[in-house]
Amino acid sequence: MKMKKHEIIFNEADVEQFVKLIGDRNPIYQSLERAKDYGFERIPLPQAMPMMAYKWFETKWELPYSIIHRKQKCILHQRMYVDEIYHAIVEVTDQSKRHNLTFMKQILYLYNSDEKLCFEGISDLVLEDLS
Amino acid sequence: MNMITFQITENDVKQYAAISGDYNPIHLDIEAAKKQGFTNKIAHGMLTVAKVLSELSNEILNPQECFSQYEFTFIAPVYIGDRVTITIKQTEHSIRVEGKCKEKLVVKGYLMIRKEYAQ
Repeated sequence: MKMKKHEIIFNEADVEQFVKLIGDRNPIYQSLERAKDYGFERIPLPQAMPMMAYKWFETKWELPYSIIHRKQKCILHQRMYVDEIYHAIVEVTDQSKRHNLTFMKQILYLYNSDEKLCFEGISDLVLEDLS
Repeated sequence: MNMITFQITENDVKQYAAISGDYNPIHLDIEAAKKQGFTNKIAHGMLTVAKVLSELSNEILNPQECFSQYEFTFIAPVYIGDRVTITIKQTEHSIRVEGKCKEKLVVKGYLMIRKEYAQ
């Protein structure tokens, strides 16, 4: 089951806010000049930042079930950069039910404007029915 | 083998919710968290992962390296205010980590290092 496709873009301020929160001191995230010092033409995205693409997908949080995040796998196929347009697609697979628990994989795919896959984020989730 | 400790604060969780759009009340509302069986508000799993990656990036990688792949298993919740101590076992191309709060294992994972340079 695929959810809606979204066009997403991260800017320099997003990266600044993210690295400040997590405490990453890598100079390539600090400014374009520092990124260029290390051979990058643009500011790369920090390692865990592609998962922020979920904010483009509308989520209702008043749910009749709890969501348990069991496992997270991320594959960076290509470096991602600020001010680049990416397309995000979320797919739900391997859904199974046992008692009041639903097990599923939710996969976030991020493609660049050439339709090349840049990132996969595979989340193993368990939904527990609260009713 | 190295060890690094970091803390996840209430402000971290609030900011992460704003940045990620993950406003699940178990992270922000103690009553909602208790209703789901937790003793306090819990940190987002990906916030813990992001902090681990940041610590590893600061301590181990050079500025041009990155992790090509990583996988984490969330074993127990990390509560707001918890201090997470990660134990790091490094080989040439990969790293294994275990994170504990008060001696209790909460997260474990592995990461693959990409030795490529700027594209």
